[in-house]
Amino acid sequence: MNFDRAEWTGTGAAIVFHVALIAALSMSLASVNRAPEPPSMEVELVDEVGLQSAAPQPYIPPPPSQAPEMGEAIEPAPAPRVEAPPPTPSIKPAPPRPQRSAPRKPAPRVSRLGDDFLEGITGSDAPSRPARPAAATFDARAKASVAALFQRLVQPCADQQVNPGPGANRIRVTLNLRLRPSGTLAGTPRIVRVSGVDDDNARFEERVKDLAIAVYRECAPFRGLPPELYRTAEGGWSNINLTYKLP
Amino acid sequence: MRRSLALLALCLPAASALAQEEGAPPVEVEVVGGQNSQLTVAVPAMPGQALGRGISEVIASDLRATGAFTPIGPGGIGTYGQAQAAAPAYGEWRSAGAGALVSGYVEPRADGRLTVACYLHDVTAGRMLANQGFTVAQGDWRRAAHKCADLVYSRLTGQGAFLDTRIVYVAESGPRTNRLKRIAIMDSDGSNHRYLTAGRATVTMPRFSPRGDRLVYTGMLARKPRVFVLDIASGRERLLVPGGQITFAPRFSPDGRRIVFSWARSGNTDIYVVNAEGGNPVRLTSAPGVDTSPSFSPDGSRIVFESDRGGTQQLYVMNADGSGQRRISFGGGRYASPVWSPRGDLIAFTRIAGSFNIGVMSPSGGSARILTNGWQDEGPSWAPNGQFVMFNRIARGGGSTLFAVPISGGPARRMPTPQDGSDPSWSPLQS
Repeated sequence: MNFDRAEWTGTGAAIVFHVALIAALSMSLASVNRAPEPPSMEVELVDEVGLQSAAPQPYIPPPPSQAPEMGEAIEPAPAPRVEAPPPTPSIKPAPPRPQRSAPRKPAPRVSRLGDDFLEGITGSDAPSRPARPAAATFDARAKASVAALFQRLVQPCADQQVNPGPGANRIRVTLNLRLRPSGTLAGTPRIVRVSGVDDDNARFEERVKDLAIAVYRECAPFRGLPPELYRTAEGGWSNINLTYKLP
Repeated sequence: MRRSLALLALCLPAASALAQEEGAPPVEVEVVGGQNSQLTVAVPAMPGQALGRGISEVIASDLRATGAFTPIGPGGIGTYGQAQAAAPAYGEWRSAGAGALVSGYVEPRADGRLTVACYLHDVTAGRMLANQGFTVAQGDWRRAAHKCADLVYSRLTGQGAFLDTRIVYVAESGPRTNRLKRIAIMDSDGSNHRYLTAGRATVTMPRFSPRGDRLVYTGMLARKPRVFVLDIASGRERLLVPGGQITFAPRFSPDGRRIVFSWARSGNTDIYVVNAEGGNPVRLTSAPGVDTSPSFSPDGSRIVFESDRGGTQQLYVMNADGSGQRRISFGGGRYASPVWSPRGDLIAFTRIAGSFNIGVMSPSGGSARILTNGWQDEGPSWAPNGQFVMFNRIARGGGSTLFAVPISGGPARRMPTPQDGSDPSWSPLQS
């Protein structure tokens, strides 16, 4: 790879500029009041599950969609009612520390990028970063909710599969599905594991694999999964292991 | 260079997020669902030749005969072009109510033969499950259809193929006092029926060789039952044991090199084995009474037979050299005509307890089940996949017809024969 003189000069200038910029930003950040750290989280395990991000909400959220009962057809969630209290989050904010009171209201969700961006951040009282929507947390409750919703989405397609013979119902096939935000498949699903195969039902193994594949292929794309839980640091419905078995 | 750096800067956050997500375990979802109905398989008429529709009709008929599917077509459903055989419009077939689709085409070859392409699709999943091409002589187009049906049956049920097979049986015609009994052969669906013997002598118990190219059977010669070996292609036949010996109930060993049979001599009937090409028979049993209907296990190591040495007809198993003889049937009634399954896991038999019925039991004698409920069902013969047993059913008012019953349970299906039939034998799968 050969570089001409102009490219070396440009690259060098860019490096110098970035070093200067980082230094300026570091000095500016050191001089401004620090934004309060998010309160430490307290985790509790819950038995009940609801389809909603459990992260602290910067505003009063509408009530969550109530998931239908098992076996019922999926219906649209009822219209949000403002007076309904928000569900109890599984992750509760800890009491604020006395000297670091968290702002009750975050900054408005507008961009602060302006003409003076390159001049650095002044020592104003405003937060040093543009406000961002709170990140969704994929805790046990949210995960169970997503699993329940996905199970309801594919159940009608599972019910249509035809049992190939006696003993086939002991076979369990697990497929790993990668989904796009639109609910379509992002790639070819792969078989993660097969269990329950014995001498009596081994002849049905391939067919039950077929049926497992048919379950997701018929029901895809999967609509109505919560977009904020598509992909988080703790996982999301972009990555699903679907285990299928005959009744 | 600048572009490379910019691209790297853009990719870093995405890679970071992906790494985070990759490290997280997937969401585990379990779904239980399905129904115990028959799979609907669409068999539209194949394009390409006039034979296409006929081939599809045979496939649909074969699939219906398995009892495992509900075929639709070729009449009453749409057709498709040759280009769509491999890539059908799944949505249309889904709308037609099909869970699976059998497509294909027929193409003539320069040598005068036909190529029949066969595709099996999972309509629900929208994907091809299997495909195969068969090249046959023009006159053998039905065999291509049977092979296509076998492909479908095997892929969807996990069972071995059994449709591209033949059946020999004793075709009976004429008045009861002067019954004409001839050995007939036909395809498993009753087509291509023809006679192998002329009917000058009464014949019984024809059995295929493991390759399906020869038969052994019992024919009356000088009013004595004698075992004959018949070459199907040439029609040539010969006595298995020369001389005036009374021999009957023959059956080939799994490798086709030996024939086991009953020989009545010196007032006792015992089981013997002899080289299929001839030679000196070797005696395997010597107990007083009638030992008959021997049948090898598929590995050739054991033989099941019936004997009345204990006072009534019962089933016994011994090693292939005659050692280790022991009784395996202890249920009520008498047991006769045992046949070892090609899978080795079961023995089919006729139980005589008031009526005659077909049943199966394990080689150790356990787990006996009765499969039929006719007045007189007898003479079982296994399909090569070990999933069906064919037998003949004699009605109270006379008349004998062939039936096949699935060992998994279900009604027996009548096999089409142009006249009365008995003593069926199912051939191995044709190559």
